[in-house]
Formats: sequence, C-alpha cells, structure tokens
Amino acid sequence: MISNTTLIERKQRGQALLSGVRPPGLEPLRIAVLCSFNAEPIAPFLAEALGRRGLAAEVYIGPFGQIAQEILDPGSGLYRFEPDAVAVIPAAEDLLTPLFQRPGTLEAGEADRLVTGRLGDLADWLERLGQRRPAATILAVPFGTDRVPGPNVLDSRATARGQAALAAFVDGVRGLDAGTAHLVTVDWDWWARGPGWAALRDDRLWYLGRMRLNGPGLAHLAELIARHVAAVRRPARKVVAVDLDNTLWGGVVGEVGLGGITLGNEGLGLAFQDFQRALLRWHDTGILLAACSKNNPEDALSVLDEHPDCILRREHFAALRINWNDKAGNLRELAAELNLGLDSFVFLDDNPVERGWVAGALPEVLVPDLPADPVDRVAALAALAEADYIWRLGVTETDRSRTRSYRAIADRDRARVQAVDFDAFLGTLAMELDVAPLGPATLARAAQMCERTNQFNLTTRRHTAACLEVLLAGGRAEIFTLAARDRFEDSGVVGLGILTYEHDRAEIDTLLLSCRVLGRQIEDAFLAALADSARRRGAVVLVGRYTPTAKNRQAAGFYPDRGFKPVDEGTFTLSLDDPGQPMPRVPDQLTLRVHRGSDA
Amino acid sequence: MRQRIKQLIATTFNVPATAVPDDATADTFDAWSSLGHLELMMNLEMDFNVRIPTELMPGLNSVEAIEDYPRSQGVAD
Repeated sequence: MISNTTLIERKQRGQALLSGVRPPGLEPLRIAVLCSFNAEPIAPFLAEALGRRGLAAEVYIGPFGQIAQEILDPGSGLYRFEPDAVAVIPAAEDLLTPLFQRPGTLEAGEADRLVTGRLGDLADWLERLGQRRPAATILAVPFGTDRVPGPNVLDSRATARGQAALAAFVDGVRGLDAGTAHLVTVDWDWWARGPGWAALRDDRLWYLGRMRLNGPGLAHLAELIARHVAAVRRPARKVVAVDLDNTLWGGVVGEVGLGGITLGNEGLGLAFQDFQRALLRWHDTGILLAACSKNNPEDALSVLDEHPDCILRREHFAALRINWNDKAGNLRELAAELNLGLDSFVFLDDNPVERGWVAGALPEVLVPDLPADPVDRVAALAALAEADYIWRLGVTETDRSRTRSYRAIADRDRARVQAVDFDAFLGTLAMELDVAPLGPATLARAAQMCERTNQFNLTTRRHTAACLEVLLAGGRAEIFTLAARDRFEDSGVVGLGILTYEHDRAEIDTLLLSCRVLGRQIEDAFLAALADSARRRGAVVLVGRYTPTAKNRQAAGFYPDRGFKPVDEGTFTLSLDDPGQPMPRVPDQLTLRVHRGSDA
Repeated sequence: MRQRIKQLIATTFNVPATAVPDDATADTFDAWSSLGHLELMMNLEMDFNVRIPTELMPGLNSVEAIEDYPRSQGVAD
C-alpha cells in the first residue's frame, strides 16, 4: 500500500508534468478518462505513472457519470481532445442502481436482465468509440465493490443479496475485450482484493464529492492503467538471458561437481528449483531463454542434461553462450543469433560485478538487481513480471511454441536431452566407500557426527567421545566409520554405525549418515557392511531401532523397506541365518571396501 | 501550527508556501475548489493524524478556521 509521502510526491510530480514541465525524450500521449463517478483527482497520478514509463501525458477527465454522453455525442469534449487512449470506468454501484437500491424487490430474472442490458449498453458504447477513434487504445476497467446490495441476505446466490448480479456484471466488463484488438481490460476489480476495497475508499469523499476512490485508490488505479497503456505501446522484452552458477543453482559446478551444487527438493536447493520453474513459466508464455555463463561447456551442460533436480533443460534454451568470454560480447552474439535487438533482452546474474559490467557496456539491456539471498529471488522475478518488463497481454499458440521454433531453426542436429535414469546418474559419480573400525584418528569426528547429525539418524543417541571409548572397551560393541569419495570430491568420514552384541543378537545402536551424502544409496551399502559384520561375529538376528524425532522422519521406513520385520513400536528385526531371507546388499553403483582392524 | 497549515495548503494546491497569506480562504486560490477542499481535508487528516467529522469539513475553509480545529482536538503546536 502506497505511503502518504509517496502519494504527495507522485501528485506533485504529476502536477509538474501536466503543467508542461517535462524531461526530454518522453513520448507524447493523450489519455482520456470516462468514469461513472468523480475521478478528477486521478489526473496528476496518471501523468506521473505514465511519466515513469517514458510517456508525456495530457489528461482529459470527462464529466463524471456521463460515459454514454461523452462517447455518443460526436461533438463532446472527449473527441475534441483527440485521445490516443481512453480509460472507461463503469462502476457497478453506478450502473446497477436499481440493484443496489432495492435488490429485494427484483424478480429472479430482473437482476439478470438489468446486468445483461447494461453490459449490452457498454458493449455498444465501446464499439461506437472504437469506430470514431479507431487508432485509440480503449481500456475497460471492471470496478465492483465488496459491499453487496443486500448484505442481510446470507445466501450468496439469492437474488435479494445481489451478489450474483454484481459478480456477473463485473465479469461481463472483464470479458468485453474478447476478440477485439484495441480493447484492453485493466482488471482493477481483481487488484483491489489485495489491499481490500475499504482501504481504497473513504465514504466522506463519496458523500461530499461523488468519489469512490481515496488518494491511495486513485494512485494505484493510475498505476494499473499506466502499466497497461505502456504495455500496449511499447514492445516487451523478448529474451531473458541467465547466468548459470549461483543463479540457476547454488555453487559453481566446475568446482563442486554435479553432486555438489545446491539444487534439489529442500531448502536453498528448492529455492533455486523454484527460480528455474518461474523462468520455465515465462518460457511457456513465449519468452525466449538464453544461457550466458562463464563455464566449461561440459560442466554447465552436465547440469542441464543430467542433474535429476534441474527443471530447466537444454531444450528450454533458445541459445547458449557458455564459455570464458566476457558476457557483454556473449550477449551481442546471442542477439545476433536470435536476430533480436539488445533492447529485447533482460539479463539475470547473481553477481553484481557482472551485472554492472553488462549494464555499463550494453545500456539497452535490462539488468535488474537480484536479491543476494536466493530465497528472495522468486518473489523478485514475480515483481519483475508484474512490472512492465516481461508482461504479456495474452498468450498465443505461437508464443507457446516460440522456443521450439528457434531451436529448430538454430541447429537441427542439437542433441536431445536424455530421459534421466537415476541409477545411471549414480553410476557416473563413481562413488567409493570405505568402512573401517573406529580409531583414535576418527574418534572426534565420530562424536561430532553423533552430536550433529539429525536427518538420517535412526536413533539419535548423542554419544560423546568418552562414551564411544567406553563402549569399545566393553568388548561387546563394534563401531564403524564410513568414508565416501566420488568423482568430484572426497567427502571424508560421513557415516557412523554402532553394533552392540547380546548373545546371538546384534543391535544397531547407531546408524547415521551426513545429509551431504543422502539420496545416493550409501545408506544401503553401510547397512550391508554392518549386517555382514554382525553375521561374521555369529549373530543370528539383527535388530534395528527407529526413534522418531522432529528431523529424522525420512528414516522412518528405512528398516521395513529393507526386509526387516517390525516387532513393536520402533523395533525391527532381520534374520541373519535364514537362507530364504536376503541379506542387505551393496548397490551396484557403489564400490564398498571394508577394513577389518585387529581390534573390534 | 500556522506554518504547518500554510505548508499543507501550499502542497495541496501546488503553490509556493510563501504565496499563502495568513488570511487565506477558499477564495484565495483557484485550486481551492470543492474538490480541492476535500483534498485539503484529507491531507489535514493525514498530517495531524485526526479525523474530521463530515459536517465540520465545509466550515474549515480558511487558514484561521483550520488552525482552530486541530487545537480543539488537543494536537500540540
């Protein structure tokens, strides 16, 4: 909601513009407002909002309540003004007076006929206006109210409540632009739900001045109208060129590898995913996406082609410049390749230095700031789309298939994106696991993991280093660490497993894995190693326990999913000497090495 | 208080503050029409954080009349 200070500032700037004090370079525009209520004070707000969009406005406000007269009388002030744009605001409360005055006296069909009749009138008037000013843009503004004619009648569909008729009228105004090129709907009625009608009006202004909008209401309506007017007159941006590292995903793929980037279904990874989804939605409306990244092409493309959590795929990009050249040069090349001017481009990059460079080198390119926190970026994109940069008045079939067309033209031999096979992806990681008995060198790390690991932690027992030593000294426990390495990095010790023995039963006191390595079937390999160790020691039953906490719910099904049988709440057993019972095995994609020390 | 009101009048009617005499009334400025008056009332309310009853509004049509109102509501100078 607009602040008072801004309101006054805008009004003053608007007044200055209207009195002829104009910065150079603005395009002139004559805009008329025909309103069923008094909207005269909107003029400076309209001028200011249009001024911000590069338009120098002259504003004509028709006498209120005389929409029909102004349109139908060929000698009216409206036509003498010779408008380029005409905003028509037929407020429901003004056009449906019988409905608002005595809704209870209307027969069932009467309300409908009133609405249909008024909408028919409006359609006729707008058609007449279109004939007399064929080059003008006509903006129809649906304007309802939250105050139904008969609020004491609770049934929302009852004629006497008047709600259905009110809604039908507003919807009808919304639909007046169907099939007409020069008619645009400025959906104030929908927008007003945000702040709420009450915030946008002051009844004293109605009684003393026939105004249905207060200061903020007028300012916001002016903004909405200006946005649509500018949208019609000036071309929208057609291409969104995006950086990749730390923009489409967290991290630098060339440094941390495919498995190390932040992109997934949770936390920051999800924020990056949603950012991608927003761009994909823009793509669906006909906007072209281009990649502009400083990277080894194989590294960046591996994410687009292979990462299971990447939403945007190579096919969604109309063109790519992934190399070590400067980005301004790359953008020029993209413009040439797509045969579009740089003034069609929006450039998104997390790095303010890159943004500054591009904005300086290519002033025609729109370079919006991106919030530093990835979590804030989806909202920033929405605001960008709502503003005047990425709008679309509507979406056509051509829009939906625009990227496909560009790609077909550009390179017919471009490799198609493979369907993602998760196992194959895991295989490409070349994971190696080392399971070893706990030793002095790994004791501290083991205790740290007990303390810190929350998500994949079956029992969440916070063993201290001293506690672990005592366990080992007792002779009836085995403690194993698991270290993981893959093609891109050595993760070090990331897992801990503790087996305690009682007669022929082995219990998994602790099984935990660092969240960094979840989702790669490493837990299965570890379980296999523990089960094997238990069996070697002569246990016939392996007991697994699950203690639920706020954070480890994902592990709830771990044991049951691997053939353990539930015996009671949170306790599961697996028979280790039953030939019909398969032992947990190491998944094919992983290489597991078990080191057996001399002491247990 | 008087200065504040004169500034408010100046802002509302888009004139320099120096052009607002102490005895300014609705007749002094073209822009102080009935519509302009409503706008002035709204600005007064925002600035002084008061609510002016509808029936009193028409009467607040001079610097003097306006000056008295916030005072009567206990607004400090």
